[in-house]
Amino acid sequence: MLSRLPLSSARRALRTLLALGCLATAAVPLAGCTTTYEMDSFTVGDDGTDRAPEPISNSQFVRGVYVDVLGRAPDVYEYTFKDASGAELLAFPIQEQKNLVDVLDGMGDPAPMRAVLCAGLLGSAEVSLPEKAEVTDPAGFIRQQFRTLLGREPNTYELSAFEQAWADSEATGPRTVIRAILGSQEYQSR
Amino acid sequence: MTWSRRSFLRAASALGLGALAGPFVPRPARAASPFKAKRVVVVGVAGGLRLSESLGMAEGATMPNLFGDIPLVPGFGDSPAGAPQFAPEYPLPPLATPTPLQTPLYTQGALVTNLRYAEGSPGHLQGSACLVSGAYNNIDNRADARAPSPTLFELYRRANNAPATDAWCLSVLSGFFRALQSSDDPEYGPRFGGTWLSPPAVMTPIVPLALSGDREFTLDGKSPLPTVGDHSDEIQAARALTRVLDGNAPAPAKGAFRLSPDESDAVEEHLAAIFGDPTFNGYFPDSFGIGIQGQGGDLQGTGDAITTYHAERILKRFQPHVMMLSLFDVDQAHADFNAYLMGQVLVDACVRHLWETIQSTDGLKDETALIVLPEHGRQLFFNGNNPDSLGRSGLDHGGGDDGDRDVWMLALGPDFKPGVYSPTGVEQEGRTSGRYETIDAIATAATILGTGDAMKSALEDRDLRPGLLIEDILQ
Repeated sequence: MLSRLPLSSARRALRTLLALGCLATAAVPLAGCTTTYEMDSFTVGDDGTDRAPEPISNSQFVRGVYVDVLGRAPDVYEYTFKDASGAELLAFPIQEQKNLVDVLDGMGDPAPMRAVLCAGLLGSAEVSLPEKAEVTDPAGFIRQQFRTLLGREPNTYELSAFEQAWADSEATGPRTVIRAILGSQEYQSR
Repeated sequence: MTWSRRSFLRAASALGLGALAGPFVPRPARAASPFKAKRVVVVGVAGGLRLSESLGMAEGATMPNLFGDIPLVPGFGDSPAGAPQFAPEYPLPPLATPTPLQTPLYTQGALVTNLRYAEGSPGHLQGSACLVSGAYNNIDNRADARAPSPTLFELYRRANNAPATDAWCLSVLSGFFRALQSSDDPEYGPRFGGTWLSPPAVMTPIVPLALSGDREFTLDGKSPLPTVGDHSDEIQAARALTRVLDGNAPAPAKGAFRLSPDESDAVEEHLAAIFGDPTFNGYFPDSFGIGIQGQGGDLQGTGDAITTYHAERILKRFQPHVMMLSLFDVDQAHADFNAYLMGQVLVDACVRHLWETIQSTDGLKDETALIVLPEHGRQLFFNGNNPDSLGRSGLDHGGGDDGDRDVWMLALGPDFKPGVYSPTGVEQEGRTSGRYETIDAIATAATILGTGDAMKSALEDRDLRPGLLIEDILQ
């Protein structure tokens, strides 16, 4: 099955299986075998070697997080300051993609600034997240975020850890779950 | 027998104890450091600054806080140079700077007036890379460029197992200036790099405005300005869950500078305090007092002022052992000689502000060495751009004449012997200047940090000429 999947999907599935411990469990019955075979080494996938995930660029990150969190691509528009009477005081262009990529490019490791951007986006007037108390099925909410942002289900360990944090920590709610996933290597790699 | 820093270093060298300051020294050995300073801040007056306008004061006393108003190099007279000579037709914006010090800072420290940027391209990235690595170089202006040999950040972090938040590199310019954060030396490299940040690029209120989800804001005196709500408890909670995910993820590809999760949290909290400030003062407050006075009395920060302000915030919060600042206002000289003078006025005030901040902050005061020097000079001849009525025009750099290469160095801190120095007869194989050089300033910084021998070894391994300790200026 793995060989028929696109390479990235295959690796993701393999990693998930490893994380779930499925492969380790499957190996247990073989422990009793007394016959050993010399086999050529093999790899999974079509390029013959494994590779470390490559971090996505700041440009890819901004575009991706806008789509995932706001459901739209970054935009270009005029931002206006007005006085109490509604008169325009100042107007200037905001190019969301360019402006935010420039900000991220100003740091050697953009990770902390990416986290700030995620926090800001999740507080945007465009985003409507439920309050923690409004979420009646935390596990369902968590699963949905994994599917939306990572394209997969959480494994047992991940779901358990997220549910536990949801139950134990006041600070862990819808925003935190999404921020945690957006901040992960998996989300920020390709 | 009493031991001065100089005699200690000489004796250690004679006894072959150079490794005392090497990269694998256990922490107790550092207790034997002969220096009072535990931290080093290097400020590159980047963009290129000539000796004639700075110490020579040929166009008036443009840097009165550092150097007063009497020329400090021969050939420019010995009477007060007067105010900076802006052309009468020049539309000089209203500058905000403090009243100059009665006693300039050079009197507190060691001023080397005949420093030589002897080799390598007099270019911005190359000059600044020399200031972080102590190596003359001709690295390319490319996004994937690296410092030519291990930087002060790498040397210090590796020797002391120090976190990335203990070593910072701040530059006005973004883009390829990220090269300054580390070399590609396999023994050092990005994993020991400095935390590089371009404050003018990052610290902008565009961020909360763009992220607010609104496209207008009414200044009614009641509504707070848009901010990014990023609070410590949420940062910690999100990070804990991210670690769950990252625990199952393969390690990312090596080669890039990356903060550890704890370091990233700490930097995020620092950023959050700025982007969460509803007064917008976190980006650049009027109280900094240096910049261009805008209409309505607000203060507009220049690149140097913004960068210096954020350097001070980082110094106060993280108290790093090593920091490098690459300032840039004076580079307007290419097209505008009067703006070049204005840049000198501003950078002079910024360096003073930085030093006063250091000396008024517990944990930094009296244990920080501040080394200020131009990354390189500028050519001896005007380029004809934007001529003014005083017969001056733009000034380029890069040709490599004496204007490009004759610079200076001001060292402030507890280990420097106050005075004005212009030593000659400095000998070293391959040294033709007979003077102290830019690489010596950085070698001295490395020695104060306890990594002088490691820097020397790394340079020699690459067949690069190492700098010398400037013993003349040490207590």
